[in-house]
Amino acid sequence: MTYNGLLRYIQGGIGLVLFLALWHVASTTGLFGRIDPEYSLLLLPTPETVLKAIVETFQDGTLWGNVSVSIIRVAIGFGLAVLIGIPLGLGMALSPSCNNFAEPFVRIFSPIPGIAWVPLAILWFGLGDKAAIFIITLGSIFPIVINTVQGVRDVDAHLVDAARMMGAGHLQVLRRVMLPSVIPYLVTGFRIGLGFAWRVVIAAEMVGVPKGIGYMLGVGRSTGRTDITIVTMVTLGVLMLVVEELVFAPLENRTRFWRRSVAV
Amino acid sequence: MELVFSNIAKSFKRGAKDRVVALDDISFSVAEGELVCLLGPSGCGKSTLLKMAAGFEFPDTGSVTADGKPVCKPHPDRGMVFQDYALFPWLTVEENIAFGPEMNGTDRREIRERIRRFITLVGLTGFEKAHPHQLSGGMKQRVGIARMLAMSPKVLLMDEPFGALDAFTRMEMQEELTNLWQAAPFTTVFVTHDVEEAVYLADRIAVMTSRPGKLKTIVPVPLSRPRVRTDHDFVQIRNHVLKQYERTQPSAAEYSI
Repeated sequence: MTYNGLLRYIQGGIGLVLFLALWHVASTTGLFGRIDPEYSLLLLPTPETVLKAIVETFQDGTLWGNVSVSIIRVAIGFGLAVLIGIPLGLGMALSPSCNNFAEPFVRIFSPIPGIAWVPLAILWFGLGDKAAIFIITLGSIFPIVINTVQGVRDVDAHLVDAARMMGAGHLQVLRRVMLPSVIPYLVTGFRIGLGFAWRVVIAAEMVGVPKGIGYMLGVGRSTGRTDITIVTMVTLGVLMLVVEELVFAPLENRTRFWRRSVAV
Repeated sequence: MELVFSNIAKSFKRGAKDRVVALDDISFSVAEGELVCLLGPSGCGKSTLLKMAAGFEFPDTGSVTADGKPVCKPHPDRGMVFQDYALFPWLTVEENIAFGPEMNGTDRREIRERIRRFITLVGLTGFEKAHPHQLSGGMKQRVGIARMLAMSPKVLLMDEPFGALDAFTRMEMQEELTNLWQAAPFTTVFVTHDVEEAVYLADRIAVMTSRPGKLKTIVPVPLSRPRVRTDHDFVQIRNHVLKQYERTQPSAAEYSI
């Protein structure tokens, strides 16, 4: 490991340890003597309590049970968004009429946060998976559409000319030139879309859709188990970190290396 | 392959009603195995003419024919080299060169053989697995040339291929192109705004002027290759070409204060 790499880990580690220490002191001393320590232990349980809660919820299955419910909802909702969003984006970018039809809808609906659909979704689909999937799809489809459109429009016209000059037909241009050019944009669209999907599913689960990560957050509050609420928050953070490191970072490295080095 | 441009005219829309004449009644031909430079200032339509020969653009009136057949779309017979290289940035050097042969269904062994041959020819041995962003401008254009040659075209169309290179790399590339061309004299149309480059490379120079784009004259360059830029004859032809751009009447705008 290089010196800078090592330094990065050491300093990052020191920061985390300091943060945990500060947290511990704050919860045991009543936020540094401002309130009764009895309350502060309830409002802000110590890191050890949270750790115990992690083990507890992990062992009794509530953690994975709820997390898996949310993951499945996001997977289905986001999957639908990808399946609809990419063809729609391609159509909008390649056909002016398709663009004229779809653009007003995209422009009107895309600024509406997915969360704003929660009340209607619950009325339409009831308190269940369908409502959650509906708002996840709506909440994550627009970044995918918009990035697909942008990606196709940014395809270098000279590259298309070069491919045609070498005898490529329409399909070959699409597959060998458009697609590789657009993939980095798709990855960006997916990353933003997935971020939206998570936010939206948690909001929906907090206001009524049963089970899931958001539901667990709410239960933590209403039953006085703030440690469980914090466990859920930590789980969310870790989940996003894992997705970022295992999916998006490698994907970007593989599909973007030529673009990044052009930009720098 | 012989290219014939006959009575080509083209205008572009500017604003609601206004049209700008880009090319005005241009006729000339490029014989089999001849290297013709289209020389002119920017905006004279020389690149547009080249794109018509490639099949990317079309004249309003007149026609471009290749061996008597009108050009109506791009074809691997007419290979083009672009000023900005237009290499596929996600492909390696050899994958870029293989692209053309792959498109017309050349078999694998033949493709491998062509990659090897043209990489050697343009002096890029050792860079087969490099990506375009790892190469210098001159090297990128070598890939552009290798890629074009690998599709075994009958005509080479070069759109200011050395325009983005520094002066020394440009001279080097001009020399190498001359060597390449002498070894296998392709019918070539080379677009440039550099008078010296035109005199160095061309059998004949089509001297174009702008607004509207017109073919002023065609200057033959009867010098043997390799040419020496400081030779008396070379300098004379260069001066003769430069004279074509001297204004006969001073324009009013230039002298108004």
